[in-house]
Amino acid sequence: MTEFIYKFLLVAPIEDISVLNTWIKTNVDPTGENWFTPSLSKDGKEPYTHAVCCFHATKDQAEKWANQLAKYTPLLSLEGFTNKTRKQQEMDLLAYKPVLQVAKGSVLAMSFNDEGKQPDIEYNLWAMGLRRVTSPTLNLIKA
Amino acid sequence: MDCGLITSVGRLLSSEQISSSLPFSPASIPDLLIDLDPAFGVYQERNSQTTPSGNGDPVGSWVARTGQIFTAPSDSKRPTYKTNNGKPYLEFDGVDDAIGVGAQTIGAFEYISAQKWRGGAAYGHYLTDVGQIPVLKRGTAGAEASKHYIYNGTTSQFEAVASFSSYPTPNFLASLRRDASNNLVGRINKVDIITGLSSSDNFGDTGLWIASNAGAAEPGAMDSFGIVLYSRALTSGERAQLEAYMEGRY
Repeated sequence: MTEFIYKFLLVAPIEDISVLNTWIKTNVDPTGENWFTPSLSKDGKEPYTHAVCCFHATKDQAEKWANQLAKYTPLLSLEGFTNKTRKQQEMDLLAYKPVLQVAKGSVLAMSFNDEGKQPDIEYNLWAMGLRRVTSPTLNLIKA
Repeated sequence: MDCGLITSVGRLLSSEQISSSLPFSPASIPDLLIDLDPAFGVYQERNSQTTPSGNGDPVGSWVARTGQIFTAPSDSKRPTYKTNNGKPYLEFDGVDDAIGVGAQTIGAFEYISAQKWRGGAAYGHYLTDVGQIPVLKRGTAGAEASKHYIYNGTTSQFEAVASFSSYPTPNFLASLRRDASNNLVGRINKVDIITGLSSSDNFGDTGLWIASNAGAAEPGAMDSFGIVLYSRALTSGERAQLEAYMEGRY
């Protein structure tokens, strides 16, 4: 049975990435680099306006992330996140999403990895009004 | 001493008999360069510490039977260990998952992969950047689960020769060449294999990557049942053996 029971999908504005990456380096993955990949914009063209990452999390890691995400806005609290029921965890994060969108232009989704679910990035991007930026290289080839 | 018994044992253990009685594996065919098998060498951490405990564990490193260590760029980009009918595979999320190793410099080559692109994401890359000879596959939603590529030294001889059209029941489509719909794209020695136009790079030349371009861009939402790669083109007989073998991985 996996201990990585959560899978998070995070989308954040480009200007927030350095802060988030620094926090990740300190608290989550000291040797990892560039968790967030700049790959999104409103119209699917460069320049990038948002970056994305999708990752597994244990209970302890999920608690850290919940607390970190709560710092984006003081309006809601995710204290004791991992002690809540799965349904309540989903509801908490759903409640957060519109607040984060308004406050920071961010969006997040969470699924339960051990149930085989995956966050639906395409749906979340569509809901956010974001598009993947198509590689100029591939555009050239397709043309 | 019973010399008759020794002679009999000697006969039983002759190398020819041993090799003919062993089950087929990619190593049975000469010039194997890489054999990535999800049933072997899969670890949760990027420094290869712990084998997966079950469905849902992240995979930070994947050690090929041939010794190469494929590593995720960061913990966030680790694919997920899954099983299908008890057979393991790696699930790449199409968001940022990728795993790769340093460039493998070879000339002519062939590789066979057993992979399913789940669609949904913008890209379906299977394998990119083999040294100075990148291989780049971009699929269409719900399309091929696997392809082989052969490169014999010129762009005109680069072709895809087989594919699965469904999953998990493979349906081989023999002699499928690259087509006008750009189903297959790539560059060889900085030359686009579709257009023949020269470019300034080979998509990065940062190593051999699975499920992304250079480990960072254009992620593919795909399930990988492994890849084998040879440093030469295979014969039709060898190819048939490998097709049957790779089919057995799922």
